[in-house]
Amino acid sequence: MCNLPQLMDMLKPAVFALPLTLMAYIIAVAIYRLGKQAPLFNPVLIGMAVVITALTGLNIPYADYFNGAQVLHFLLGTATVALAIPLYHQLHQLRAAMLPIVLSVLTGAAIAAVSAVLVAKALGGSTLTLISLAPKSTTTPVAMGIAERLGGLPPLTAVAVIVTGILGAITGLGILKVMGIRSVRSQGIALGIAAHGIGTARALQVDQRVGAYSGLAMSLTAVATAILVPLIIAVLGPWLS
Amino acid sequence: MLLIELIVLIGCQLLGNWLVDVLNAPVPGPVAGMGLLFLYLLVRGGPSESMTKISQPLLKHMALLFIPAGSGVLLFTDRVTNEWVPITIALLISTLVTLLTAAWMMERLAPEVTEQDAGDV
Repeated sequence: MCNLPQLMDMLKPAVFALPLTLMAYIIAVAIYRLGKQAPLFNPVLIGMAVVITALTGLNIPYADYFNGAQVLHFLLGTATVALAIPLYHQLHQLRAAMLPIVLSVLTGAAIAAVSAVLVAKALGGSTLTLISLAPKSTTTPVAMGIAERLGGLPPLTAVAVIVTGILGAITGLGILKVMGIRSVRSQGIALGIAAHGIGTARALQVDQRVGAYSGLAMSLTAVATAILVPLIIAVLGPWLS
Repeated sequence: MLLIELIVLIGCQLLGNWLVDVLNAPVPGPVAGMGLLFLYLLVRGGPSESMTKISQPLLKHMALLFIPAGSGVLLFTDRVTNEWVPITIALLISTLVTLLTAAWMMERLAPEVTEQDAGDV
């Protein structure tokens, strides 16, 4: 079905796309470590910046690059499936307060989407932007998947998710304390709902217990967001454009 | 065993994608796959050593896997330049509101007296 020259053509983009992505990731992780893993030095954001700079500088079309990086994109799906494993391990923490945590996650996931869409709409955001912002409170692979299913722009969603995570990670614990939220459990759950993995990483640096609750909330929020955001967009649908 | 667990993992992914397409569900395929794997783990009573071994590098280096799709934002630089104000303010307000609502709900529904302050930020 596919002769050798055709196969070579298929492989050609991968020859630059894979090393480029790998190099970008290595640089990003090095910067993140140099920056003492501060949320602002987010490795995904820096990695993306390196790839974008390289593609623009070398005049390589994004489609060619993405084509070559298909394997990694497929593995992103596999990694998303694998999120079931941390969820399984975190589940025992639910026992402490199952109903409150589940209710907070459902409410939080809904409010995150609705408030982002409403505020962006009020300030003149376009329909595609609103759809792309809706899943911004959950972990990047899930959020991009939701945006894709809803006809949004997954890359814009990825950036929105990461910016949300950075905002939550930098300000979250401080704000909660100012507001008098002292419970380790409430802090962790709130941070995991609002700022997914980036918030969880920050929480783990401060306190293992906050991090553990944050990780649980982040996993549950992924499920809640995947179910709720399509419904929210369907309800708000006629009003979005 | 490693190979079998890899097949389970990718099988859940493909089956999830297929289910979502057939049912025309709005949920992303990989999330459906995550649900399937979760059921598998429940039935099995937890991940095997091989499953943990396979998934660890995937989860640890997830950031690498976002880069190809995320870099696509360069196709939308105009949109981001034109709409950076609504986008940024929406993200700021929404993050703050979500954080406070969630924390407030937890405090109301499950007040915690035993554990203390999480230390300084």
